[in-house]
Amino acid sequence: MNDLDNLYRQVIMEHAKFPKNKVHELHDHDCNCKLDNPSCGDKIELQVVVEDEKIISAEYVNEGCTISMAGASIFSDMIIGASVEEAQVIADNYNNMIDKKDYDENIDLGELVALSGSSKYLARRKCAKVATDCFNKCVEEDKIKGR
Amino acid sequence: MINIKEQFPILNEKVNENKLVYLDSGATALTPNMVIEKQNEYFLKYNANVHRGVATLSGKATLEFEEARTKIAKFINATEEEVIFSKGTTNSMNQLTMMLDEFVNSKSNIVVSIQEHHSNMIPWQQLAKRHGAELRFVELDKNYGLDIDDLKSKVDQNTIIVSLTHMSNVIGETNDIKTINKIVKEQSNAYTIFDGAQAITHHKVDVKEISCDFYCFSGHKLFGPTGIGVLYGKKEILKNVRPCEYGGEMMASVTREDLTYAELPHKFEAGTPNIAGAIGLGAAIDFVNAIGIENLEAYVTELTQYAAKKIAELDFITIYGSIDKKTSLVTFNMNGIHSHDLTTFLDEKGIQVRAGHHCNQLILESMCTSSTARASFQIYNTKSDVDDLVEALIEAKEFFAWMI
Repeated sequence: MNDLDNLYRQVIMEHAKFPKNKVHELHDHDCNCKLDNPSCGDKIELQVVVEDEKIISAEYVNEGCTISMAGASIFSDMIIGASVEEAQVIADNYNNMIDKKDYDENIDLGELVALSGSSKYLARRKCAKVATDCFNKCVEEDKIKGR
Repeated sequence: MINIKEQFPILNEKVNENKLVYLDSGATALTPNMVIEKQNEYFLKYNANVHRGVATLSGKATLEFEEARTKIAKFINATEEEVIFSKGTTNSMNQLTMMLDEFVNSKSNIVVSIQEHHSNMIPWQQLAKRHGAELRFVELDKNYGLDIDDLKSKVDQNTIIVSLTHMSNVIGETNDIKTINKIVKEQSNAYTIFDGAQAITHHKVDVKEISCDFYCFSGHKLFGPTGIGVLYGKKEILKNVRPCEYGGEMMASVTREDLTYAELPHKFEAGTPNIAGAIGLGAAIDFVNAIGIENLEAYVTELTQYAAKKIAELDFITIYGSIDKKTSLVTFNMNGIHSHDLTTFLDEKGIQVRAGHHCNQLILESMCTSSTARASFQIYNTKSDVDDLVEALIEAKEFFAWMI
């Protein structure tokens, strides 16, 4: 597979075209987090809702490229049912994979692995991480609904 | 006649195993050999500080540094006293906010336009905010050109500064700044400032003919080094405004209580300047003069028109702005595909274009998009580069067909 085909795998194209958990508008803005990628204009606003220590929804509004769309779709879908701490582990491992840093290969990153092709493109790493970075920001700023 | 290809050995480089096709000169122009060599000459032969003492090396450095200033002054029809070296256009604009700070108050308004690069908008936005002044925006017409009638309605007796671009870095169209300057001066006592970052390499700029108060540009878009630029100001104004920075070189004499300023332009050049950069910019002016700015303009305009028309023939591409007014760049999107995806595809083919909001979120909002691709052209580009781009766009459409 050449680099381009590796970057734009079918699973990524599918998530970008039919994103999961994406909504037109979020309500209750007090517990949302926004993240802009100023170099390119990728934007996301994420709302994570927790009930009984488990994430029950991760909805977002976003705009951006195929990679950032797919990243948000796959990641948001993966963390539903997980605890915030488990989701953080996924986000950190995934970010490290994208940044070509050491990461725990025993952690199942599921379909997120398909985004590993973006690590070759320095300018695209931010696109791939926009959703996970936004999730980390939600945790850091204590903006998880129901927590 | 200068051999263009020989001046740019970088064009022989491979990018992602493909021939480099550099279509991002609107971001920064490639550097010709004569600029690289002239800069190196400073480090190799007379690496000393300028305007310091009587030693031979410092004398030679000062001579070359000031000769570069003379070349720049001639290039824009100014005097040496009116040419201040800065770090670039952004720095020139920020310096101006400090120089003109004392004239702004809560009754004033400052006029910019929706076409402005962030470097000619945010400094004024923040200056206005500090003084409780009003920041006014000249709106655009349906093709994203400056709406001159709107400019007329925005400028009044309380307008203290009007700062507009000479050529939009997104739309690639040139504004008639001589007429604009006249309109502003007829309607107000405002200081007029023009952002020449894009225009300086595509048009003959004559500051006397334009009759503007200030004109700013960067060296690196004019084949010079990065980190060096110019702030042109009318002598009578420069004499009466405060310097932005204090320190060595900008003073004539100092007491415990106060100082007297150095002569122009040194009053505005505190500290050790970017000596090699300035000398390199002087060589860049030599390069442009060897071609002739009129020839450069004619060549790049024709090439840009060729590109705009070829790209416009592709029915899956949207071009922004009037095609026939484009003289240096083409901004476009592939329908249904984000510009980042498109430019990554082009990059794999060795084609370097810009993607994103081009440091102008406001104009992109008015274009109802958050991101575009931009191909910009220079003297070293050829029709074959354009053909490569067009061919790659067709391939990209096939590659992303599933998404569209």
